[in-house]
Formats: sequence, C-alpha cells, structure tokens
Amino acid sequence: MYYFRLFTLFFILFVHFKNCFAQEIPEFGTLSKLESEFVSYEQDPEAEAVYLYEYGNNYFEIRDDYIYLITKYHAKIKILEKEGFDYANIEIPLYRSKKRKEKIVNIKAQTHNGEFKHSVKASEFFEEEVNEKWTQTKFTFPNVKEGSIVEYEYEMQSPFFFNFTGWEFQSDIPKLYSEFNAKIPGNWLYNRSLKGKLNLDVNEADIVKGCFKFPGTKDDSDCESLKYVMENVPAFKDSEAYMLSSNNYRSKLEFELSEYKSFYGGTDKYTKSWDDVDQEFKTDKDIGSQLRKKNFFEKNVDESLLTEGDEITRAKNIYEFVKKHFVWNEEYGIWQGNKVKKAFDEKKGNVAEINIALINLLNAAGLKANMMVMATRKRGLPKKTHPVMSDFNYIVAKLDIEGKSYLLDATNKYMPFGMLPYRCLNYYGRVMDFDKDSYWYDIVPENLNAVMLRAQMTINTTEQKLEGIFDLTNTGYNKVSQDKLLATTNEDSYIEKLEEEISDDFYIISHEKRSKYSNEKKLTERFNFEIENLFQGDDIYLNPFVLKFFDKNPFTASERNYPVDFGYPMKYQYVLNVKIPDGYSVKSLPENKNFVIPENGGVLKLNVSDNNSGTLNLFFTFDLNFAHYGNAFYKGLKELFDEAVKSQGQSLIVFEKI
Amino acid sequence: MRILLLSLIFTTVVNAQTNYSVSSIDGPLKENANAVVRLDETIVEITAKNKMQVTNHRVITILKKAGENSIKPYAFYSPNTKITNILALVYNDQGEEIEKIKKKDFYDISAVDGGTLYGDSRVKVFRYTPTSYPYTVDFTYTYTTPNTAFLPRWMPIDDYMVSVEKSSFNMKIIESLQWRKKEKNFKDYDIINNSSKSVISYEMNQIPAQKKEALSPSFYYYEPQLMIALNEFHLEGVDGYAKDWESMGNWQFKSLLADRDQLPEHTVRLITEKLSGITDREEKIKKIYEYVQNNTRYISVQLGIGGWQPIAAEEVDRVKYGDCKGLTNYTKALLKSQGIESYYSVVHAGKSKLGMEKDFAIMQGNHVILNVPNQENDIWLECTSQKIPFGFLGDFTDDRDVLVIKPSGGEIKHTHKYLNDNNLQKTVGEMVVTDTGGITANLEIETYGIQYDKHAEVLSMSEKDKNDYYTEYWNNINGLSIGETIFDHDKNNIKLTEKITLSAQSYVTKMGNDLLFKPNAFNANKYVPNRYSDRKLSFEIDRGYTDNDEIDIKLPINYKLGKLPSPVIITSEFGNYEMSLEKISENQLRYKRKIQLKSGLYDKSKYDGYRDFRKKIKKYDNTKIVLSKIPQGQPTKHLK
Repeated sequence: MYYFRLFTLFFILFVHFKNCFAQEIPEFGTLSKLESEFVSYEQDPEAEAVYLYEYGNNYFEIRDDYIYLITKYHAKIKILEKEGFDYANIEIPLYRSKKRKEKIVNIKAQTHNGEFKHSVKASEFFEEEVNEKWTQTKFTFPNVKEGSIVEYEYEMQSPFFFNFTGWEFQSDIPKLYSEFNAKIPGNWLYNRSLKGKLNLDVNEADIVKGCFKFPGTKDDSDCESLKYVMENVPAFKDSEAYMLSSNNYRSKLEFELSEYKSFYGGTDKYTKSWDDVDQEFKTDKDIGSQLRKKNFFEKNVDESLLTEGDEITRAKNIYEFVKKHFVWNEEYGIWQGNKVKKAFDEKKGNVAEINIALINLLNAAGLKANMMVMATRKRGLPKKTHPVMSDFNYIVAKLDIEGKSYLLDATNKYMPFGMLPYRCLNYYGRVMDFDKDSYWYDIVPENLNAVMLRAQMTINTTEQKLEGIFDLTNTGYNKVSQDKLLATTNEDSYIEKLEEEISDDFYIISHEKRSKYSNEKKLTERFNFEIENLFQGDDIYLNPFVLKFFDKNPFTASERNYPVDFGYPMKYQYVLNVKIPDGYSVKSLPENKNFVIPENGGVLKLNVSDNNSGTLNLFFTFDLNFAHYGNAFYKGLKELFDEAVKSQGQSLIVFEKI
Repeated sequence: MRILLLSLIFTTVVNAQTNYSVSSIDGPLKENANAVVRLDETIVEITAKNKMQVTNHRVITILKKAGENSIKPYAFYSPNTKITNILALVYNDQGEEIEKIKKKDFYDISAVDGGTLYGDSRVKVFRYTPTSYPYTVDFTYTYTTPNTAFLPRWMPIDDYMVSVEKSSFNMKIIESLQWRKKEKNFKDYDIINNSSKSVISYEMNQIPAQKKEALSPSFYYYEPQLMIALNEFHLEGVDGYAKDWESMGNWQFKSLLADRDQLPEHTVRLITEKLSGITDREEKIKKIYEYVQNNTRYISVQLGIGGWQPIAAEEVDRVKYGDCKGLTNYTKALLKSQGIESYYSVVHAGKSKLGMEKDFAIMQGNHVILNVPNQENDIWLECTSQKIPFGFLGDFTDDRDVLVIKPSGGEIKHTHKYLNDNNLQKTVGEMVVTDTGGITANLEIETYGIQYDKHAEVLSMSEKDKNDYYTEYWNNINGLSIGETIFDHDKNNIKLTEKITLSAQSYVTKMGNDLLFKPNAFNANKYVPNRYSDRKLSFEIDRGYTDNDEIDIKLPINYKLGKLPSPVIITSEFGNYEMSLEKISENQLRYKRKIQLKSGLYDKSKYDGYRDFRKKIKKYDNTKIVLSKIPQGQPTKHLK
C-alpha cells in the first residue's frame, strides 16, 4: 500500500582483525589544495555554502576518575553566497542533568580569506542557557565574505553515554566529504542503523585489541573501531506539501545505547530485543505501573459508566467520558514522570496520561484494551528491525471487541470513536500486550473523508437573482475539522466568513445543522442563499461551483523529491440541480470530463446534462483513493489537481433569453 | 500624611481580596470581549537615579480561548534587572483559587530575538492549561533595576477585543530628582488624575472592548498614554542627563558615541585609495556605503550597555560584523576619515510609522540609521543590509521622526516619504491566447519605491522559491508555468525590472464554441475590505501606490471578438482607476489599466465609499470578454 525506502544496514560485529594504522588527519588551520582552490559546487550551483570537509571522532576516555564519551569535531565550510552567511553562525548544543553536564573542553575557529586568517577570540565564544536541560555554545566567524572558508574544531566531553546518537551525513547544504569515526570498548553496545537513500563510500569496522584500560581491572578491553565516509553528499531538500517526516528520508547514521557492562560486573540493558522491552514496560514506573490504576478509577467514576450496556456501548461511553473529562496540555510526554491519578484529579494531562487513564477505565469495565506505542508523523517511522525506544513519542489505546479492533486517542474533543488525530496517521505502532508478547499493528485511517454538496437553484428573473439551497455534508476527518470550526466560531462570524470567501454577491439567508442527517462521523448543514449580479446583458452567467472545495493546486513544483502522503483518502462531490429559467434557453454548458490516474488512485468526473425536463443536472466528483502516493504518481496527481481547480474555477453555465 | 498614602497604595497589591468571580463583571464589558482585564496596576518607586522598583499586577478574566493572548504571562530580567517576587494565581469562574504558580514553576528562557547571536536578556514565563472557560489569572511580579533611562509607561487601553475594569498607575519619585511628563491623547477619555505633590497617580475605569477593524491606524495614534522621564537617570553603569531632545542627544553623544569612531590606519589608507580620483561628495559617500555593504554583515551581541552603545569602529573593522549600532557607527567613522560628517540616528523601525515624540524627550526607538547632511536633501543610510540601494530606506524606517545625534546635541528630523506615485509599478507585455485555451506571455514589471522594496526580494531567491513566488503572485492563473526570468536591477535609480516569460495551458474558459477570458491576467485586484454595519474607527491607506498596466493581447485566428466593454474611468478622493480595451486589429487587443491609491487617514464615515471604490475596481479588473468561433468555410464579413 505504501512504498517507503527505508534502508537499514546492519553491521557485522565480528570482522577480521587487522592492524589499524592511524590515517593522516588534516591539522586545524591547514587547507588542502582542493580546498583552497575550490570555487563552486558544480553538482548544485544553487548551494549557498558547502562543507568541504567534516570529521567526527567518538571514543571513551577516563578523565579525573570518570569515564567520558569524547567527541571530536572538525569542519570546513566554504561560503559561496551572501545568503550562506548564516552558516558562519555556529551553535553547539550541550546537554545537562541536575548534577552533570556536557562540556566543550577545547575549541578553535578561524576564517580563511585566501592567504589571510582571522581567528575567533576566546571572549567571542558564548555559552547560552537555553532551558533546564540544554545550554549551547554560540559563536560567529569574523571577516566573512563570499568565498571565505570558515573552519572550526572542538572537543566535547560527555558523561552521558546515551547521548552518543550518531552522525548526520546530510544537511541542508552539500558536503564534499563527511567522515565519522568511533572507537567503542566492548562494554558498550549500541544499536545502529543507516537511514536515507545514500550509500557509504567507506565502511570499515575492525576490532582493536586492548584499546581501553580501566584502572583496577585485569584485562584491557577490546574496541570496535568504525569508520564511515560519504563523499559528495547532496543537500537535503525539505519542505514539500503533504510529506511524512523528513527524518524518514535524510541520510544519517543512528546509534542507540543498548547495553552497558559495568567494569565492576553487572550489566545495564537499555534496549535489546522486544522481549526485554516488554519486561521493562511491565515494571516501569512511568508507564507499566500507571496502567495498573484500575482501582483508583473504579472508585472515582460512576459505577454505571463501567457496567451499563454491552461492550461497545461501555467502550464508547468511556471514550466520551475521558474526552470530556480531560483537557490536553498539548504535550506528549511519554517517557517522563507521568502521573495518571494526579492528571485525573486536575482534569488535564499529556497524551500519555490521558490515554493511560482511558486504558485503565476500559480495563476497569472488563474490556480488553492495551497500550500501543507509536510515533507521530512529524517524528518519523519507528524502526521495525529492533526496538529503538527514542523512535516512539506517542501512546494510544488499542481496544478489542468481538474480533474487531479500534485505536483510540482521547486528547481531541472532536475525534469520533475509532479515529486517530491526523498527527498519528503514521502507519504502525507496537502494541504492548502484558499478557502476551508485544506486536506490530497497522494504523488504518478512516476511509470516507468527504466534503459533499447537494444544491438546488432557481433563477428569479424578475428580481434578477438566484435563490438556492445547499446541503453541505462533511464526513470523517472533514467532519472533525468542521465540528471544531463550528464550536470555536460564533454563528455570525461563521456566516460572514463564508460569504466573504465565496463572493461579494453571495448572501446566506439562513443556516442550520441538520442533526437528522448527521451522526458521529457525518455532519450535514443546510444553507439558504441568494446570488446577485448574474445577469450580463441578455445572458445569465453562472459558475455552478458556488462553493469551491479548494481554489489552488497544492502541487506547483514540476519535480517532487519525496512521496505525497495525505494521511487518509479524500473525496469531494457536488450534485446540483438548476432550473432553466422561463424565457431562457441554454446557451452553453461546461465540458464533461473524465480523468483517472493509474491504479485508480485518483478520479475526476464532471458531467452536466440537460435532459429536457427543464432542469440541468451537474455531477462532479474528485476522489483521492489513496493516502500515500509514490513519486511515480506525482505528475498525474498534479494534473488531476489542475483539472479540479479548473473545473471549479472555469465552469460556466450560460442561459440566453429566447 | 505622605507615608499614609503610600502605604495605602502598596497594600492594595497584597491584600487585594477583591471578588474576581465572572458574574461580577458589568455586562457592557463583556460585549465584543475575549478577555476582561479586571485590574492592571503599575506601582513604581524611584528612590535614587539608579534605583527603581516596579510592581506589575495584572488580573485578567479569559472569557474564551482567543483571549489567552492577552494574559502576558512573562517577566523580563537581566543581570542588573532582578525579579524579586513573582507569583501567578488562577481562579475559576466563581473567583475561587484553583492553582498557584510559584517562582520555581516558571520557565526561564533566553529573551533574545532570532537575529541576535548572544544577549543577556532573559524572561520568566508561565504556562497554564485551562480546563474550562472563563477563568481568571492574577499575575504579580516585582523587579528592581538601576536603569531609569526608561520608565514604565501607562497605556490603559489593552488590546482589541479586550475590555478593562480598572487600570491604574502610581509612581513615586524621590523629591531630589526632577522629572517631566507627557499626557498623550488624554482628551477623549475619562481619566482620573489622583496625583498629589509626592505621587503621580492616574486611573481609568470601565473601558469597553473594541472590535478590530480592517485598515484602522495603529493603536499608537489614538490610545491614551502617559510618559514620564527623569532629567537625571542611569543606564547600565552610565549616568545620564536630558531635559529635551538637545540634551538627550548631547548625553548620548558624549556617553555612548564619543571616541568610538577610531579606525586603524590601514583601513583609512584603504578607503582613501578607493576614493582617489573621486571628487563628487555624494559619490564618495556612496563608495563608502558600498564598501560597508560588501565587507560587513549583521550580527548582534547585546550585553549590558552594549544594548545602547555601539561596539567601537575599530572592533567592527577587525571582525567585519556588528549590529545596527555598530555598523552605523562604523560607516560614520569611515565617512569621518574622509572628512564627511554624518550623524548616528535613532529610529523606531517597523512597518507602521512610529515617530519620536517631538515635544517630549524620552529614550525611544529600536534601530539606528545614519543621517548624512546634504544641503536640503539629507541622505539616509540603512547600514545593516548588504543589498539595499544607496540612500533607500524602504517601509522599515520611512516617513517618521527620528533622533539625530550631533556632537552639539540631539535634533528631531523626518525621514524620506514614499507615497502614492513614488510607489510605482509598470507592467507591460504581450499575451498570446491560443485556440486550445492556453496563454503564453512576455512581461516586464518595473517597480519603484515601496513596490520596488517588495519585488526586490526575488533577487535573492533560489530557483524553487522564485518559482513559488511567481506562482503565488499570479495565483489567479491555474497551471501556471514560469519560463525564463531575467532581472535588471538598477540600483542607481532604485528600480527593478523583472522580465518574465510564462505560459498556462488552460487560462481560457470554453463555452461551447466560444472562448471566455479575463484580459487582465497579470494584475487583477481581488481585495475588498470587510464590511462593517457600524464602523467605529477611522481608516488609513498607509503609503498609497500607482500601478500602470499595458498588455497587448493576440487572439487566435478563426475567432471573432464580441462587443468590447466600454472604457472605465473612476475618480474618487481615495484615488483613481482607469481601464480600457482597444481593438488594434481583428486579432489584437490592447488592454490598459491604471490604478492610483492615495495615502491618507480618512474618517470612518468615508469607509463605505472606499469599499465601493474597491468593489468597483475588483469588478472591472475581473472583466471578461468573449471570442466566438467563426464557422469554417465562410468569410468573416458575412458574420454579424
């Protein structure tokens, strides 16, 4: 159904032993011939700046009786245009806890302008406190002009082994050469994966014998020594309409600490297999134990909520109750200090607290509900090959009733039972079933998300105006946004805004919600309206698309870099009957249209018929049948949208006086 | 007596056991209101020229979500400005306390803007997630500061859609210090002056909420404002004295600018070489300005007095960057090295034109530009931009009073205006309509003044951004495809010419055998300001502009033109509009259009007239014409 290219490389740990000669590493302040003669980057003439060289090395070292993770970084960036001056402003983020912090122990920076060099003075490096957890070292280079090369090098020492997170090969400017090195003693195990489409030009992994000495232990540890290089890395182009997280596509190497064997014996496991994760969750204070507050909830809600009705009724009542009870504080907060009871008392909480409360209540009502951990669209798709806990940032409930499953998130007051917010439409999650093993589960978005208009129009020739009724029906996700709009705007401004959007000559006479024709996933509204100024001489010009679904094509670029992902399928439909006014005949009608893109992925139809009964019938449908379109669809999709915009904007019915 | 009075004032903060239930709000205050400020109290005590304590106490009832922007849940501080006390309480609709946010619960973040590399300004912020509306937030904080160059101002009207129950201002200044005040726009409002010999005290009550209306002038022009200034004051370690603009300029020159314009000899030599052979003074100024543009960039570091004092010219010369103060002072130093005098000038920058108070000297402004006296025609230089043409200001600093700092003292001068015909756009070209309903076109857009300023952005865009820009510029043309773009940037005459080729496959609507299209494809106005049944505020056309369009339209053969619309001429006090379609030959039309909008502040009674004017422009701009197909095999002349 969807086509991601998530390349995951596995590195073989037991490789051949070989002597590892230290390679020549360029010294700070020197430029190679290639670097000093570099003028422009032919592969990307638009680049504002380019990394000529980037080098990183990570290793472990004992300093003042503590083991630190040391990161050395060295970069040379050529500034090609004024627009690229921002690349001369550097920020290095540093993490801190209450007790310990990351530190820059050595930093040098200078600008090369031809033969001339200008250094950044010690007093020109600033340390800024960003918030409780982060500080950053900031500086800028002196004497920067078009053609300058800015070069900096630093050494960072970190007490946080989990902060060894990898290497970003791709950035928003191109790189000629980017090299990552690491030397990791066998006591630390990191899961790793390579994301993105690009391949490594150098991929070396060796074992170095006895490379790490810990005082008081008999044997020195062996290290795994890694060297990965990418050359001529193109800039990462971001920001296209309707795309999944750029994290899915950007080329980078990801590390996650999975295990640490202490030199004093004993092993700290971080993540290893889903079995381990399942075990951890059960005992985890933040999540596992929070899921076992059934008693608290039983005591704090009406008994009837948990006992009355059949399973599906109870489930729906509980879902409505939780939605109403809580206000979401707009945080996800799945890994930190969740307090479900407190949140319940205060009637507000983060995603984890609200949905864990929901699961507790469903369980208290004797229903089978489990927690599903997942990632938002913005975060990117979690790796399926092995558990990477930092990939997950969201929790929803998975409910099973009579062989049917429902995914629930109670943070959005307008969300119908069984639908997840748009931010959650990110393909799959992992269900943590504490009775059995955890398992992957697909998120299937609501299928019918439509805006449907039914209109009837009569032209009053004596008063020279058109009178009509239209019924606007929104379903699925369109209904959710319409509900929200109606709940947050008052009637007058809603009508006013709609009138303004449509045209100067359009007046809404009355508006009502039609509850008889509405349900949980469907909302119908009826409007009575009038249009003036349709008469031009003896003719009447009518664009039958009084209300337009949209008036712009979201796809304007001729090329597309990443797949299009709408999140869910969509449908726009318009059915109109218009009476031919007495004393007039039809002069012209819009052309009929029928377009389909491959695999029936998108359909556009426009059909206008005059069946000699004195009434014209118009039928228009624009269907996007998939949530996800691979790049091969892009051209067709763009053209289909063009046709849709054109149909709505340029269709004309012309009546002429007989 | 004095002691008693003071203690009365100060205890109001602590013992304010007022009823903050929602039901106690007067009906009229709820009209049009997203929030009601129950109390906005400012208490200031100045005990020395370098010692001030300020307490802000703000109680606001949020009626609906849209009112939350008015909570103002923040308190700024810096190494010298210290928050001594900060607390927020939340009440439910009954006025009962439901949450207490203490000092440790506030977020503490850096308060520098995105354009600043580093600054020492910080802010404490709180966040509250309401579980229901309405609710009330009661926020008090106190800070002490040695900086008295800026004193708190009183602006009792809060914001659009926010009403105010009570706003009060109390300031006590130790007798030994001389102070001045200005009451601005007080006359139309019920303001109570409770001031006595020892306390400056004002209040205003029951201010109903005002709806926001399109095109209304900035709040600043009509809201009541109380400004107070000390004659002797202090700013980040520097003492100051000012009683009028002259002495204000004099102090700033002596304490902040003097001797900061030294340059290394090699730079002076370099500049002298660059200017050798040039005799024209203006040409010299231009060369120096261009040197600054080509060799420096904007980087801002704001520490202590560095927020008001430029880094020394020597230092800018070494690193080749600086903020507005540093780069302006550097340009001034370079000019001075060539014997050209210029003045550092403080301005309130931004799209709305806020000027210095002509008759009341007070520390004001957020930006610095350079004034170069030039007989009757002063040159103004914006030194932070590497792109802006010599002598051009744009809508960031145009048409407003600024403080020009001369060694002899300060002086208020007015910057260039860009109005009406100055802001000209000419669009000329040729459009070919094909019989399949498409168009191709060759266009030239020439822009001047503020319109130049807007269009010049395209000069630094990437291919993709440029494409997006034009697609948005002509978003009335579906399926637009941009071909070639060539720019002619005439910096001397401050004029940009964009030459563009474009095409669209389906611009024309087919009606059976006929074709229908709008001849004005490239500059059709769609804007009509909102209608108001009872407009309350006057309205403003802030700068005005003129657009001239002339497009030759080639029609497909085998089609015959229908009746052309007659020429249109509309004149009004807001401007003029002309449109005509002229048949050049059987298959060629000439479309001409001119629109002139006149800058000005207009009475609210004229608003409907202006709306009508814009509605007509919209209508005529979107005029359509019909081409009918000539049946084949018959000569043209036999048709009607």
